[in-house]
Amino acid sequence: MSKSVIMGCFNSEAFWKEGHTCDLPTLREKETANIIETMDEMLFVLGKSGDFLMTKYQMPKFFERYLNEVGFEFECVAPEETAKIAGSYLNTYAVLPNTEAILNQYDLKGNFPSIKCVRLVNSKSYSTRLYEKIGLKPIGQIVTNLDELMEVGNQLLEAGDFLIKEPMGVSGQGNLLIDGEKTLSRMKRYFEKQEKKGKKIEFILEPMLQKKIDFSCEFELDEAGNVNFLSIQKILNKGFGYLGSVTADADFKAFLESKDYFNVMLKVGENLHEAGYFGSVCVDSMILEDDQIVPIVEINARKSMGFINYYVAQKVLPMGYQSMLTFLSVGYEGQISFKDFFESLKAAGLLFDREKGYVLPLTSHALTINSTESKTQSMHKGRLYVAILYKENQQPEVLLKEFKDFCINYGMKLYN
Amino acid sequence: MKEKIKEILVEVSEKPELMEALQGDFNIIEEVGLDSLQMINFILRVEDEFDVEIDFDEFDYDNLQSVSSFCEFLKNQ
Repeated sequence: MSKSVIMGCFNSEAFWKEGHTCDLPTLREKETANIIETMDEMLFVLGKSGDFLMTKYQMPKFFERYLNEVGFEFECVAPEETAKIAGSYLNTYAVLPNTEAILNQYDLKGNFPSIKCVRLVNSKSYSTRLYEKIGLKPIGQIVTNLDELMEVGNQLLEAGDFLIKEPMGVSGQGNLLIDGEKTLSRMKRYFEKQEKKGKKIEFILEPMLQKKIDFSCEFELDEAGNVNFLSIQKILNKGFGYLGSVTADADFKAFLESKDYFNVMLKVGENLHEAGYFGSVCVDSMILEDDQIVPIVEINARKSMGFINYYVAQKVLPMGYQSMLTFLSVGYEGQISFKDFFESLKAAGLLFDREKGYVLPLTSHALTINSTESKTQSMHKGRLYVAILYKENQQPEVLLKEFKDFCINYGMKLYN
Repeated sequence: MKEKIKEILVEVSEKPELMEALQGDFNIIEEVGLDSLQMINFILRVEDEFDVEIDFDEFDYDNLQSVSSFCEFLKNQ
């Protein structure tokens, strides 16, 4: 079987943005940006026998051994090990402007859609237009100048709060809730400043809907346009931020089937194919309080956290476990060692080892990167990406609470 | 001013327990741990409450090292 080299970057949207449109306000914070750079470690879940994983920061050897022992098949390679990986296929998180260059640089094989197409189909403007194309009533409106923004915004405010979305927004950013005329006017002034610098207005305005459940549909679209459904993941959110994924049960899928949801997804696949896209797709959807389904909240034409949980679940299902992917956003003083934390988790009987335990760490550097980078004794931010593996008679929330208590006792401050 | 900032932080973070936990000259970043979107909402709520306008692009995170330094920053706006 052909080997693959797995690599990727989790802030794809930042690479897809072309910089000519106005942005919503963001506060640049170095520590969170550092953490995002380390998330590629969790792509080990995509590995099959003989596959290689290349990450920005080399995964610690003991962690690689542990993941191999519990059943994940991959071998870490350093960027200089070019001879080892030459001729392999590239398996990437998302197609980026440098994907072609990576293929050439490492002499890898792979066929990918053009970056122009990838940019197009990942834009929220594209998914908003797609609603009408497939015969659904769109929930959002695209605005392309300030007068339109104010006119549509004020109309929406008459009914309640609304969201301004960037065409290429990332989870936890790229959305802003507008709860009154004052905030809307504030945003107008903010955008005016950017317009003066030559940027264009392009936003999607959507009424703030009363949602009950967020979920996502993961599928692979082949070059011939065939859709291969992989999973439905319920999304755990806090506010607008992502908190985790858990595989939906058969009842939930049956409910979606009864609402014709999968036919809409097939139409999404058909349109993506027409646009020239093929590869991984994760469509975010939601169910409103009145049980109405909003099938397309956004289209992520790439892999996603839902994909990560799907692959973990596939691996542990034969062992009798289900998986809930989540992360803890933590703070700690001074320096921290992932090895020490890992050993303590093991000693406490929480670390998954096929026989016992339920915490499967998915990353190492996301916890430590900021102490490694700064070397100061002050407080640093870190994240623990984990899969909580549970059996049918167990409640993942209870296990998560126990894990959180463990982290607090370890001296961490929990932020989410 | 400090109490109002505390109230806004509790509201934006959706953590009522912070009302008790945040004492003295607390560090906004370390004690509250707002994510990027909550941080923007915090700034917008502060602008609204104290009738100031903060430059998002130039804002320095060091202003959040303590609630006193943030109050001082606001007074200078």
